[in-house]
Amino acid sequence: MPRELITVQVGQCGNQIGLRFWDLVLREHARHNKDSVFDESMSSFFRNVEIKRGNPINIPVGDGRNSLQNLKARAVIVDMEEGVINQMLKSELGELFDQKHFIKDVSGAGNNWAHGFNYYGPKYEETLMENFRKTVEDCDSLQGFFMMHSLGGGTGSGVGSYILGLLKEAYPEVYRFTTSIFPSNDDDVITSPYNSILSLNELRKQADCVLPVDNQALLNIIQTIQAPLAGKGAGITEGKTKEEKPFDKMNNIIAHLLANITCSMRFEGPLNVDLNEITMNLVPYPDQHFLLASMAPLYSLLDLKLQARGVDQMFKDILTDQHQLLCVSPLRHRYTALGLIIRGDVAFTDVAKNIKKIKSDIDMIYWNKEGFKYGLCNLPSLGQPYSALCLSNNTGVRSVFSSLQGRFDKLYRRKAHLHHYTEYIEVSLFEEASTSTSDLIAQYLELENVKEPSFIPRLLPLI
Amino acid sequence: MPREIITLQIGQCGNQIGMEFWKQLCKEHGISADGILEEFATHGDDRKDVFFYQADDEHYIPRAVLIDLEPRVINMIQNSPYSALYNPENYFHAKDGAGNCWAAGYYGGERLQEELLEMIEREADGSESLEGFVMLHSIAGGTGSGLGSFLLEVLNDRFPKKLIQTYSVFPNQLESGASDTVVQPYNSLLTLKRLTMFSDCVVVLDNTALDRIAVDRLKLVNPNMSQINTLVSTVMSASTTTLRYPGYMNNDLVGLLASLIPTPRCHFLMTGYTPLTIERQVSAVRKTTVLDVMRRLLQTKNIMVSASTKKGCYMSILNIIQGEVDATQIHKSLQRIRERKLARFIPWGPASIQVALSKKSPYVETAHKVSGLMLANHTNIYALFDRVLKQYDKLKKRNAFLENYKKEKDFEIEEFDYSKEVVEQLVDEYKAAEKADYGSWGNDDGKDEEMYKLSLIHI
Repeated sequence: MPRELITVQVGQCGNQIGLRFWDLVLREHARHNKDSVFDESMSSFFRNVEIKRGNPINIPVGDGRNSLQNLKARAVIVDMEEGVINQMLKSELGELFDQKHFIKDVSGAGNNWAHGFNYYGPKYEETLMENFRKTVEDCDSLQGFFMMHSLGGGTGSGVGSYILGLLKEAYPEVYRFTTSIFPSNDDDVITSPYNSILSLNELRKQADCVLPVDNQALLNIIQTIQAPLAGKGAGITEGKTKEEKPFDKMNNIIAHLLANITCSMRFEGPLNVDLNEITMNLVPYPDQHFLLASMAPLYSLLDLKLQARGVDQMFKDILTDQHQLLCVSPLRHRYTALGLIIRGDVAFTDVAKNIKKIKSDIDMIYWNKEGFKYGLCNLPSLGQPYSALCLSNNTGVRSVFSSLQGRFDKLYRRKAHLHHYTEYIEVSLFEEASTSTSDLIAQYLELENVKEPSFIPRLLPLI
Repeated sequence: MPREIITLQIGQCGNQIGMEFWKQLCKEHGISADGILEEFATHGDDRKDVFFYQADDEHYIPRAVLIDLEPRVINMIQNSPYSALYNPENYFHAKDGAGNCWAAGYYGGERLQEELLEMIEREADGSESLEGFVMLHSIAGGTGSGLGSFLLEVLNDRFPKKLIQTYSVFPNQLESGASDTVVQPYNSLLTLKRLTMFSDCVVVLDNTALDRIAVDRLKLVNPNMSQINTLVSTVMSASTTTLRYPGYMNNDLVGLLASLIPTPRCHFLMTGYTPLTIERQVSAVRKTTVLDVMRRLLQTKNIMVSASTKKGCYMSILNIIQGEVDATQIHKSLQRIRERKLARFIPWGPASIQVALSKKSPYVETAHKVSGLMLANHTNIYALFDRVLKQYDKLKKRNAFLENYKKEKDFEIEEFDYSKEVVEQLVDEYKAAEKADYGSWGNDDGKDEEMYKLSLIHI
């Protein structure tokens, strides 16, 4: 009975990521599970149901040898406009989702955080809670909620933040992980700074752990990969669906991120890492739960002409700027803790050797010089013989917050677009969010600047 | 008089080591993977009943209880070829896991104590004359450390006269090493207090040293976890050979330990083993004589603890030698060692190496004629505890990573301070044991204490 995870997909971005995520998870399990039995590893994300005359009955895992009947995803899908959800239902994965767990509206939140948070949130509160109650009931031992959303829009940020608050109140012991897409500098939504800063305030209070991802960083990665490969090797950016829509490649990267974080819960390995161990080891103070994620290798080797990059190279790559999922140079800032989840056939002495090297390369805070956590999972991810995911608590995230706050200030000083928000919320909320962000930045800055206190010898007593 | 021993395997590390240990024991006693005695082994005169008992159908079952707070590792064991070996009633796993948090492991254990104790008492009742418990766990994680600590306290309460020995895996702590858990100083400190107060003997297995040995000594290119655990299982099975192949001495655990542990709190043992091989890989077969083996055992590079034996002194040493050995050679070897002063002993006690001879298993082929295990009580083991204290101080001063401990309602933050006190006293005691006036240490003579403190300041 592994621990189940419920994914919560909110908004257009959240749902598109979700679609790619389910695609990847299905393929991963299909490769692992050749006899198509519903074993325990599948039960983390899926339910096995038998559809008898329209009434789906849940089949429990049992001894792990029941055959697959119909798989349903443990997901709650929220969107305030119908376009994306309808597309999902029409796609190949449409059957995976249970119509009853959809919460949708028609008109959308209009890129307005306040509209999402204070109007749609309370409007659908009951339906949401009912849905969550049912999905939680279907779980044996729920470990966490995984929210996928963006911070720049209206639904993902507004309704998403509201849902986090509801979950914290209703299920306080269940971990709330979020993958939040931060808007890039040339974002298409003008009010994205408002939406992001307002959500950041909520994320700081309500979420247990946030994995911020930057659209700009993902774009850079894709361009780096496309250049040398030019369509030769498949990569972690390739999905199965033939017609690739523009954001599909980027969403595939995030799908891999989520799959890798949970791989230790689903597949066996000599050193297991659970979600609660991630929060335990990587979050020193409750506010600083924003983890920088990076993955290596980013492209797989279907083309034999390309040299296999060695394990050591993988560990070196994981610290470089090009592999981070956020536009941050981690080596120029300070690490508070570093976690590695390694999949595939990697000897753990290799890991130990490389961690030693990493230790000497990075600036680790003086009171946690040995702050490393690593996990090993035997099953490699799709298309790669071995891969590493690095989750670190790095003070560099403050630069992302600072730049967001800069853009926020520019707009706020002029009170531009404010009237759309004040229809639903008070202006004081803006002030609160802004101070909260500055506070968070200051905390990270302090950690970055703290130096080891030098030892002042005490005076010897005169006896 | 069989003196049975019940093994408790706790947490991921404990269960993985335990799995290798039972594999090794089965090989040595000629028991197949589903517990049936192989044909070639039916006439042995070894004592299987210390660690196994026989079910109604001649099936040998280990006296083991497998405990974990999450299901994965136990499921792996249940799906391994040895799944039919264990008693299916002796598996216990909860669902949530301890998440590397000592408090979650400890209070998780408290909540589940009824069921756990029921299993343990059932095994205890099934033994004619139980000698004690052997606990396998790590001290840096959540379940092995937290639930392990809880069980130590409870076992001491319920079975006060029974021996408790632990094989505790200490984390990789060196500055140049790779730690695998960030909060290990916290978990280690809290567990060390219980290991000091409630266990009778702790065999220290250090991940730092095991790594080093795997790479340097065994020349394994890419050792995986299971090969390293085989090293551990070799040591564990060697330390129990005198119990399982009865000779004229040392037929029970308490006899082995009595000579090794002079004072009750100094019960942390280091181990060394030579020659080290992994199955199917025989590094250049050397000529092994008793003197050879005993000398190698004293070398730092064969010792499975990362504290240097060059500083400090030995309180006691026990060498268990297996193989074709001539008793007179032992006498000569001991003489040689004393002449060359290869081991420095404490000034206040008898300075001698005890040697126990034991038979090897007739069913396992080894490339070497003689092999030896050393169990030593050395004062410099406090270096390990010192490291834990230093790292703990650094983290605690900043109050970092404490949120999850505070989440457990019953956990008091002062617990950290109490544990720190106990461990500091332990370190002091080991340091004092190196001096000749250890006999009067700890007397309530205020003058001595003050002089001792002042002398510290001047250092």
